[in-house]
Amino acid sequence: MQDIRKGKNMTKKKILGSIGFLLILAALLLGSSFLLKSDKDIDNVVAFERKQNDLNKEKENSIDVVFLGDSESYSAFIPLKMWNDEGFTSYICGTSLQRLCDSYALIQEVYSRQKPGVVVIETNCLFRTASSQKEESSNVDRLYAKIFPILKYHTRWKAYLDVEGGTGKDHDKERKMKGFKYRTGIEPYMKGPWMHNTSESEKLGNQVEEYLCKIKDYVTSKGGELLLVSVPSPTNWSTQKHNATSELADRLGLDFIDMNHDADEIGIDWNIDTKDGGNHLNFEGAFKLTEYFEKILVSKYNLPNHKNDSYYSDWNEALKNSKINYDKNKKG
Amino acid sequence: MEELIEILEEIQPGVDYTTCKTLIDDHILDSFGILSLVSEIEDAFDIEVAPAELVAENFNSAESLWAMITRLREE
Amino acid sequence: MSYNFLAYFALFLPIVILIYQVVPQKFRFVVLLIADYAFFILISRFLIVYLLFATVLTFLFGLWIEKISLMEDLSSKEKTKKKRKVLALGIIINILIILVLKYTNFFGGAVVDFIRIFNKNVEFRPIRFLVPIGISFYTLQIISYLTDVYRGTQKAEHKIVKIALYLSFFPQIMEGPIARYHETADALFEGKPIQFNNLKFGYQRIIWGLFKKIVIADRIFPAVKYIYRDYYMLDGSIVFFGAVVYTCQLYMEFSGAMDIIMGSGEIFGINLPENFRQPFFARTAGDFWRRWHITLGTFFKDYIFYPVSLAKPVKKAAKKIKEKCGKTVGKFVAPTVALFCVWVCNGLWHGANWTFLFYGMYYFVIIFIENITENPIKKLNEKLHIKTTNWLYRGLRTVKIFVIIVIGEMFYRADTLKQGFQMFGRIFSDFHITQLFRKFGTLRVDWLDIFIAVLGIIAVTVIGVLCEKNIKVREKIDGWKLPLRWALWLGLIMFIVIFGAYGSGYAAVDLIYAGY
Repeated sequence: MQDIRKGKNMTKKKILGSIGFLLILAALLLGSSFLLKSDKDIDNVVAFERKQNDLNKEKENSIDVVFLGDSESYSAFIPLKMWNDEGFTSYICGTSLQRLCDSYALIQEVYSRQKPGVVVIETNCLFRTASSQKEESSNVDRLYAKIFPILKYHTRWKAYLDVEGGTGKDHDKERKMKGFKYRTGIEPYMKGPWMHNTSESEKLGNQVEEYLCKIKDYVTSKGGELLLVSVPSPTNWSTQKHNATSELADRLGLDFIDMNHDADEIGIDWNIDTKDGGNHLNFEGAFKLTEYFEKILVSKYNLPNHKNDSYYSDWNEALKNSKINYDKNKKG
Repeated sequence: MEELIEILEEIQPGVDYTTCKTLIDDHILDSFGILSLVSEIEDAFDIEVAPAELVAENFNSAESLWAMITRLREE
Repeated sequence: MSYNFLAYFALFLPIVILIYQVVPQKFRFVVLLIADYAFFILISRFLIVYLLFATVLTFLFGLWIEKISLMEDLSSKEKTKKKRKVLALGIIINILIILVLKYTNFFGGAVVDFIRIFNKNVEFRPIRFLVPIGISFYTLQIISYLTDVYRGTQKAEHKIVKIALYLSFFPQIMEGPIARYHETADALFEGKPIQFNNLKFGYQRIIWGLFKKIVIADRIFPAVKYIYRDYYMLDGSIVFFGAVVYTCQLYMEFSGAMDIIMGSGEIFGINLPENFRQPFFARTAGDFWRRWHITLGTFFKDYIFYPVSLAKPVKKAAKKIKEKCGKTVGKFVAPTVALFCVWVCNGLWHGANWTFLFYGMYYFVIIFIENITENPIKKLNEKLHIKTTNWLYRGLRTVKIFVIIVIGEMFYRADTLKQGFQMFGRIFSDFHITQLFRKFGTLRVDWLDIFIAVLGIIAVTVIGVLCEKNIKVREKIDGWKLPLRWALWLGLIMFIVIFGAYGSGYAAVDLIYAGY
């Protein structure tokens, strides 16, 4: 009799113990969620906060053009070259696998201290979900993440520990080049033309039009102009994507420049200008592309030339310190 | 039995085969040693050792080995 | 494919545990079987037909072999002959299925390459077969079961349900371990109620496995990916470092997955065989393979190594050579032939690529050399009065085996044999250790992540040392006072949640061994 009672007490103890353990765990999860969660509608919080830090290092009201988008954007446009050749300043706010929700958050961040007249979005990101909902996460993940936001925002621990010290030399170089990623590897693309004739349209990412509208309205309200641009990329772009983007641009009244059609005119040699078989341009390719594109920007938007303005002397410094020769027809 | 112990000592000297009961568990005989052993006892006792016999129950001690050998001889 | 961990241990597992416990004992195996098949279908969907077919086939062949044993009008020799034919048929059917599904393209490509040597232009268009999850694992279990029935060490099973449970137990299906029939079948069917201690220890082991995979393995993965992608531009020291980091990732992930699997089994009172035993404490390459993927090694030992070395033609050849060249040479013949067969199988089992075959041959050669030099080295040590327990000797031995392991794994991960050799070449042609230190920050893992990874590796090493000394860590912790215990486990869970390499900023990492 006593043994059975003892047994029952033991079981009670164990069950209560387990429940207690789980309750404390839940409390810890909720508590840490409270500390680390962010109200912003952002997909990659760490990348966003890094860009935030980087932007804060630029002088106020010193940026004329801002680039948004994914890795295509930070592989193709060289701000220091545009400064060298045409005297306008630009900054790459592109981040890896960027979604439009992050683009939207970033552009708001930009306009808090800057007043760019032109905002360029590289269109590869239009074929990716615009909101912060991850495709690979199952409904279970989303459910748990709703209850315990810490599961979504936990990477912000890095932000708490001063991201500055934790980003390594690579990031330093990127910041000095105003967001451009300098890469010189070569892996040729050898599969020939990639823009075939077709009238089909690829499907845009989820909620892309909605977010693009928000971005357009915001930029316009701040006196800026929004431009859609596609960087030549055989493995990422296609006529189907071109058609979809064209139609979207028409609907929203935006300009769209597709440089995939101009790769030859730009002078891209797919044997040496790409670092990964046509996915991204390397520095050589970006050099040629920037040379081509900067002229378009200047003629289209009446960009100022600050070369002799002492307010922008730090840009000349940055140019000198980069030790790269950006002059036309001279490869660094 | 003595013949068996002699064979064991030739293959892997330095072990007291009269008392040790963990030849396999303690990796005193590895798979290589086991094969040498099997080859020797097959010749010495004119038996055939099937792969099914190569288990710890048979090979962990000289006694269990001897039991296996005796059994196989009778078959 | 990615293992959706949260869905597994925070939804699927608790639900199965609950239903299993609540249901009366005689129905528990049904719950388990449904859970097994549900898990399988969630991953491989209709491909479950392969598993079902294999289950029925195994069941019938087991009975067939038994029937032959019971035939009264046959002599013992005739019975053995017949049984062997049935066994061979059963094994061949299963192996053919796997060969077709996984190796057609490999063999097709090899044949085409061979024909091309004669300047004939042939094309082979690779066929994309859909491969069911776990086929490489459950097929080995089938072979072990049928062989044991043939050998008489396992009674043929008369309840097909037990065969079904044995082949489909959901924790095992993705990455093993490869269990023998007598190790799991009875416990799976028995339906004993879940014991609280098992539940507790099981989940603790799962948490530890999650720590290894999510905090360490997934965190260092970007460095591996980067170095393996851009190796031709990187200094040899960095390439070697990449191989080291990959070996670390592979171990953390595979052994971490094992912890999750073993913990899951433990919850249900199933004692799955261990697959890892502190592999980096190995003294020789042979020893390493008794500590790394242990159940694969014992499978090959029991079902290839011994049978081949005891096979009549091999014995005959060994005898001939013994007579010609003496015993010291002759005794190596049978084991070496068997060793070769084992390593061809081991290499190819890992995948349909020349890199895996090379991996197998690499270890074959090394273990062969270890075998033939074992005695000469022992004698040399005695002559020179070298104590093998000496710390310098042990240190050098550890470095030697570590290098062997790392080089092996470097080839293992390479996409092609050519890449493997190029990477290997760079280590020697272009090695500048200062480059590694200078470029350390550019290896796609930032300093904060490196710090966490190192902390994790130290923790795992400490636990490894304790395990090597046979200290039962979980039980020791269980003896601590409640606040300390809870603080440890809650702390560990929160550490994984906050510092895990998942979510935004971290790429999803597929399980390395889950394609088998």
